[in-house]
Formats: sequence, C-alpha cells, structure tokens
Amino acid sequence: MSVLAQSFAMVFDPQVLMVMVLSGAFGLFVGAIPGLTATMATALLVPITFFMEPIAAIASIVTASAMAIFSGDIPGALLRIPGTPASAAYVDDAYRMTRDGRGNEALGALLVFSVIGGVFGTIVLILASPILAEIALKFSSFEYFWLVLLGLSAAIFVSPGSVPRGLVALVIGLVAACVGMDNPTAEPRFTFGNVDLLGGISFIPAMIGLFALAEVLRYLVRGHKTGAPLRPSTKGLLKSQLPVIRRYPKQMLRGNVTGTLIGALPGAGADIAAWISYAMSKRFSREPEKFGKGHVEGLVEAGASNNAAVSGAWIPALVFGIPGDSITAIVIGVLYIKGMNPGPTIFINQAELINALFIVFLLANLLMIPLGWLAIRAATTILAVPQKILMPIITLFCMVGAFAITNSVFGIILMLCFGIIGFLMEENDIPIAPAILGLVLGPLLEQHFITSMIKADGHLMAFFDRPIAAGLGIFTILVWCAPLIRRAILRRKEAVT
Amino acid sequence: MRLGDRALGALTLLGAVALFLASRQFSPLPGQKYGAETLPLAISGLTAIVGIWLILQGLATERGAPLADVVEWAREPAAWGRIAATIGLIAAYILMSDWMGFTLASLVLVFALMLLTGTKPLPALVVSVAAVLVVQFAFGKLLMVPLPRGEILSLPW
Repeated sequence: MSVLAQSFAMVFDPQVLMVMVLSGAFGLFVGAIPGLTATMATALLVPITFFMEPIAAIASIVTASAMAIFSGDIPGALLRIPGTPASAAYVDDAYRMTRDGRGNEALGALLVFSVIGGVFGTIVLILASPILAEIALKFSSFEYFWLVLLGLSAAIFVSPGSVPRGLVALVIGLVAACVGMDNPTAEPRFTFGNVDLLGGISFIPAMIGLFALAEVLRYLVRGHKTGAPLRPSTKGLLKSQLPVIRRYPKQMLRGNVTGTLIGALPGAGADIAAWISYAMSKRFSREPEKFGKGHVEGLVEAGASNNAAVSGAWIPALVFGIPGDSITAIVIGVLYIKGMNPGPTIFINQAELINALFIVFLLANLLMIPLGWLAIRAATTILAVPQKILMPIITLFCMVGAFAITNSVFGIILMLCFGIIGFLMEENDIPIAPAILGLVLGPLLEQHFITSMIKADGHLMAFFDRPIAAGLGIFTILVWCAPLIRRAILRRKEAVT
Repeated sequence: MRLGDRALGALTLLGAVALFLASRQFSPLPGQKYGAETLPLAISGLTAIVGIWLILQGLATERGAPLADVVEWAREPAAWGRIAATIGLIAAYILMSDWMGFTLASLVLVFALMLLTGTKPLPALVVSVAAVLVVQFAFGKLLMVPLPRGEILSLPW
C-alpha cells in the first residue's frame, strides 16, 4: 500500500472521525464563550488525548483549535464581545452589520472566509513549508521590531474617524501595556503598590470590558431608544457568500497570503496578521469611508487572514519544532508524547504520519462549514431574547469570563475599569480597536527593541543593517510618510494647473 | 459629554507631561543606554505630538464652538443613576462574592440589573435563577473554573 493510501486509511477511521466531530463541537463551545480562548480549549483537551491513538490525539487538538478561533468571531458579531484579539480588528464592522439586520451576511462571511483562509494556509503548509520555514528563521529581533511597528501603524488606518483620536486610543493601550514588572529591568511600573498589577494587565479582561461592558453601559443610557438588532436568519447563509467571493477575490487572496506569511513567523501570529490585513484592506479599498460602519470587505480580508495565520503557525512547528504561538507550543508537547518528533526528519522517517496530519488539517477546516453553520444557528437564538433581559446576562458572562482568566476577582476589577474607560472613549468618538492593538503589541515592541539594542550595543542604525530589517524599516517609514507625500504631490499638481 | 478637539488635546498633552515625569524614575539596564524607561518615554513623546495635533486641529476647525458638547442622555438624571447603579452593583459583587458565594452574589446582581433595565419582577427572578444555574454548571462544573464558594450558600459546583 502506498504511503498516501496508508495515511488516508489512518484518518478515515471511524474512531478518528468521531473524535474530530466531538472535539470540533467542544472547540466551538469554548471559543464562543467570552473569556475562554482557543488556547484554553487546546489545553483542556491534552489530558484526554493521553488515552488516544497518535492520529486521533492530534486530530482532536487541530480540530478544536481551528473551530475555537472561528467561533470567537460569533459573540463578536452578535454581542460585540470578540473572542480573541485577532477578531477584535473587525468586531465593529461585524457588530454594526448585525445591528443593521445584516447579521446573516456578516456571520456567513466570517465562516466562509475562515474556511478559505484555513484551507489556503494548509495547502501552503503542505507544498512550501521547508522554504518558508527557512525564511522565517532569518527573522531576528530587528525584523520583528519593524513588523510590530508596522502592526501598530495599522492603528492609523483602522480608525474610522479622526486620525489623532485613533492615536489617543493607541496611546491608552500602550500605557496600559507598560503596567507591571514584565520589563527589561523588572522594575514595577505604574503599579501604585498593588500586588495584582505587578503581573501586568491581561488583555482578555481588558478587551471584554472595553467592548462588551461598555456596550452594556451604553444600552443603559440610551439603548431603550435604539431598538434591538434583528435576529439573523441562517437561510442561504453560505450561498449569500458567492457574490462576496466574486466581488472581493483580490482581498481574499491578499488576506490568505499575508496571514500565512505572518503566521509562519514564530511569535507573530494571528493577531498581528488580522490587524495588518484589516488595515491593508482599508488602505487599498475603493470605499475606505465605509470601514468600521458595517462593511463586509474588511471581514473578508482579515477573517481569511487570521485563520490562514493559524495554519501558517504550523510551518515552523513541524519543520523545526519551534512553536509559533501558544497553541502550537501545546501541540508540540503532544506530538512528543505520541512519539512524533517535530523537526526536519519527521518528513522522512514518519512520512505516513505527516501526510495523515495534513489530511487532518484539510478535513478540520472543511468540517468547520457544517459545524460552524450549526453553531451560528444555535448562537443566533440569543438575539431572540429581548435586550432588557439579554444585557444583564451578558454582564454576568463578562464577569465570569474575566474571572476565569486569573481565577480571582482582580480580572473583574480590570474589566470594570476598562468598561468605564471604553464607555468614555466611545462617548468621545475615540475608537476602541487601536487600544487593544496597543495593549497586545506594546510588550512585543519593548521586548524586540531592547533585545536588539543589547545585541547592537545601543546603535540605532543597527535596525537598518540587515537586509530584511532594512527593507521592512524603509517600508514602515514610507507608510508613515505616505499621507504627507500624497498631499505634497496634490499641492504641486494644483500649483501647475 | 463629548470633548472637542481643543479640550481633548489639552487633556492629552497633560497626560503626556504626567507620563514623562512618571517615567523618569525608571532606570536603563546596567551598562546599556535603554531600559525600563524607554517605552514610557517614547509613549509620552507620541502622546505630546497627538495632543498638539488635536489642539491645532481644534483651533483651525472649532472657532467659536464650545469646548465640549453635552449629549442628550447626559441631561437625564435617570441615565446617570442607571450607570452609577450598574457600576455599584459590579463593585459590590467584587467585594462580596468571596463571602456570599458565586450563586447568591450573581443572583442578586443579575436580578437587580434586570429590574434596572425595566423587566417585571417575576420574569426577572425566573430568568436570573436559570441564567445563574446555567453559568454555574457550564463554568464551574464543565470548565472547572473555581467560582467562589462563599460562606452563606454554595452549590456543590
């Protein structure tokens, strides 16, 4: 029997298939609950995988993590509670669409483009992983510094209204990221003597507060007048996406490619990928003014991008055994326990296992269509509940979700503070999304800057010494200067005419 | 209340100064130029630029306009009352949950919030009991989150 046939036989075993369906349902459930993450879904599965065959064990984790990343988008679109920082990039667009009675279109786009992104990332993983992994290894702290800075610059483009107000939000997030003693000299920064703050501000409670609790507070002051969003129907959910695919093929492809490339860099991951893709989508769009107000274009590009990044993260994990994010870190552990040693030799010594793994990847992403459809159908019943009953229950979920991150009331305190900040920000037309970006990327920026400066003995020009770093650096600076250059050209043209 | 560009800019600039002063207490790594103070100082620089930008933009576009607008809801005392009550209820939960236990504390919280949003008492009570039991089962039992047991009433999960 050929190697490929052997691999197929391994995967299409009734037991493996059943494990995949069950873990998929579990992943969807955990991912859709605000405060619980894809990483948590994966970690909770590990003890169960001890009792499984190798392929079933890996299949269960791969399926659960892929589903959890997608289902984080569902509460984002229905209740404005993004499940992951990656879905925070486009949560406002998705939620606005639901409020406008286009929830069907938003959820359909998130599902379909998640699947497309995941499948694209997997195909790249199958065909090109050794080459991409080789390039990814050339990235050092200098290159990551520029990449993070580029991610932060996305704040300028994702802000729907005034640019300086978007930057105010970014600054709020960056300042929050400074809190704690996780800094180069481990001095307590802005902790005001509070022991809990020494560990820093974790972004899940902050995110739940900024988006969800702020929304509850807003409902309390003016909600009675705005009316409830319509419950999206699941009829024609998938079919309605065909015209969207035909309308935005370029955006879809760009999201897939960006997501896979950024995902393949260890430590970059789905968050940066989604933000950069969303910013790129708005920058190159013909209708940038519609972004943030319920426009599907950003969902197409960023939704595909973050799932492609999840698949891309497996490239360094399988080729070198280097985890790209926390999920792959857990999986590498499981691979070792099951006798599959990640590294270049896995492709030669265990060819049938690695092929089976690839089939599992494809199958897990395809399984997302029926399971995701069922999850959306179940979740949309929430919107049939009147708002005056729903809002208190959302508050309870926010509190328990924030509590679950630290297992202490400190998470709830953080959530409450950020809820009030988020409410004040929105009252002043300061967008929320850039604050999340600052909070997530701030620590990475500091870490890569300081590491680089220790290596280069404090010479700032070292950021331009290496070819990839220089390229990224020049590109980042060009992105910043683009509006000025464009204005100068326009002025000259006006002067000539 | 919505702050105009000038007022928000002035506030941002003030924040930049405070951040700059607060960051000077941190020190660089021994033998290095940069350290714990680098990021906060860089952020204070960015904040100052944004503040000045907002002030200039405000001076150019808001001539004669008030520094801040009072939005419609802010004139209703009831709206302020609802916000204060919600924040107060969550704060009370934070203080009391260890003593009261998750079941009772969250029941009080959800029931009170429902009355606040205008639900009738009987349906509010039924829905809050159901919601608390479902959340307790899902988080406490299925996902093994150690919800506070409390000293008064604790369900086995």
